[in-house]
Amino acid sequence: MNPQADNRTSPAGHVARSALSDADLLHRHINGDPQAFSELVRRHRDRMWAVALRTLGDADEAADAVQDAFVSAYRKAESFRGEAAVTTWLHRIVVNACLDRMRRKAVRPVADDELIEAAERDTPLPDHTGDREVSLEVSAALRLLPPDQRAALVLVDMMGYSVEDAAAVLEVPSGTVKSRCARGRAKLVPILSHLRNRSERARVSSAKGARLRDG
Amino acid sequence: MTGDTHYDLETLAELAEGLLDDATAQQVRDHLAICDPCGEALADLAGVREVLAAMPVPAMPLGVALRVDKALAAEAERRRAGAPLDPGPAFPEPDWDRIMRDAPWETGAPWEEPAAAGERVADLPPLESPRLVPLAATASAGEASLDGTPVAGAPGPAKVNGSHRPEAPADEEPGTVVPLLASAKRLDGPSADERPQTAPEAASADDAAAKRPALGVVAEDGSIVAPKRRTGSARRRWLVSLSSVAAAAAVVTGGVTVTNTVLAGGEQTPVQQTVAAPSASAPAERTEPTQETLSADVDGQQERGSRFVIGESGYNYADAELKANLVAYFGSMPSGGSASGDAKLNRCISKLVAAEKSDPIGIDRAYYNGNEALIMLFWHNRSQDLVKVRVVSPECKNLRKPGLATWN
Repeated sequence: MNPQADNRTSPAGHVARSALSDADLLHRHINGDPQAFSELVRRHRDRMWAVALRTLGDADEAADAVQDAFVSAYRKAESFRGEAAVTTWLHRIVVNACLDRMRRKAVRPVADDELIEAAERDTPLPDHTGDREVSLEVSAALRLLPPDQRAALVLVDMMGYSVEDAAAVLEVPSGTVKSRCARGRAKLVPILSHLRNRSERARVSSAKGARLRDG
Repeated sequence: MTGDTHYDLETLAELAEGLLDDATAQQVRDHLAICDPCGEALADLAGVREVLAAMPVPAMPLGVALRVDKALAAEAERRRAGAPLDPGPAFPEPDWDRIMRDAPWETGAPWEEPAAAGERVADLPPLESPRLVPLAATASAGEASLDGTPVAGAPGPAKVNGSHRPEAPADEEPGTVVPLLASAKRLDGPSADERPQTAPEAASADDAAAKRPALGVVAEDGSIVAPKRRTGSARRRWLVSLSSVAAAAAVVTGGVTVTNTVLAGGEQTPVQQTVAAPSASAPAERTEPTQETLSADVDGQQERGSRFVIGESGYNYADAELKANLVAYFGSMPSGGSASGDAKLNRCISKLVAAEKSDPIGIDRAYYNGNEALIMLFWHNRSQDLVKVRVVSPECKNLRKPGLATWN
């Protein structure tokens, strides 16, 4: 197929491209279609962003990781052999980019009380309740897990992928994914409940304060 | 298990995942049937899953999406320019034995002539001596690595000289190999103004090996790589810059006094060395492998990377310095004109330049908290004298979050 004849600019060409499967798009990209990879990116960037942001817990880091990952995927498209879904392959590249980043960072504290202290430091005390607050708590708590456990939890519990899919992305056996998830959840329980109680106390005390103030 | 003893969360989580063996699982279930706290803990674990699942899925912010698009457009540009999709890690080391096969020293010309100043430099010493004042060394580091190269050989100017560089700034193949009949003294530590001015001084510090005349190859790092005769390939470090090759290209004046001018940060530092007269057996047919022989694979990116002057202060930066005024560290670097022949380095520089979308105002090969690092500065806000500091490893990975420093 001659990519040049592919009506790059015509609506027809666009429609045709958006109807293609991921694998077809990747194939076209390898064969020189300059638009094919962009279409792949458009399709998957939100998911890749979600994975990176949750895994890294930091928007700047996530942006770097996602960019690196997409550029890397662009370059090594030929290494995709079709043995897995394109999405699995893309996820793998993103997750690996994130894991690389995390592993280069300083070692996190591991003792539970240190974890909780660190989570408190990382989470500003909210002035009102809401999704945003929970989401801050969760990402602060996640940041305290070892990278492997975090990646497993992001894929399975947060993104909702099956253990088998997560195992394919992480290139580890399913049992390993399960055990990383189990250990990660076990660590999250005390951290999250502590943060929740703290918010609860803050809310109660600010409600009291409001009552006193307002008479 | 009853009473005050409970299963820990991890065991309960493993039970929930079906990871426990049957016997243990049964024990835990029996316990759960009678233990409220453990039942609550199990519920808490399920609650964690729910909280995680309920987290909203964020869409990629527009800024990030644009950034990714831009990076991919740069990739596409690169691809159009003929780069392969996967450039690989690779700029394989050239086949030195093949390239150098016909070189006179490989064919066993005797070389027991006396030499004066000379030191065989087969490898660069590690940059482990952080200098307190990097600025003196930064600009000239590359050049200084082969300072005052005496070139003894056939009368007449050496073939290689500074003009070699501008034609081929993008020679990314490790090894603009310039076979020279050379005795070299490589000075790594001292900055320009501390250099010994004469060869005898230099020679006095040398060991016995210095007495050996060196028929050498100027490697890309500017060091003289003494040829290994009939042995495998020498250990070589592909470092520093082509400019050092230029610096290495000394004027040959019949073999008595060589004056080599090292351009260091705009200052001229003449270095004089006395060298031995060339030996009678010195082959006249010095060859100068061209870029062709070395099959330089040039593409636009490398060309960009090699445009910049790269300091090599060896300074060990810490966060405090990288947040403060960096003029003192980078200000003395010359702007433009020099080149790097290190492909990996160039790729990395190009990558950062592409990411920052501007040319760096300073590049220093140095250390960050004791780790080898490439420090690059970009204008963040010129009117406020703010520079953006990028610190990356030799593998071009961020060692530090991009940060801001001042420049005034």
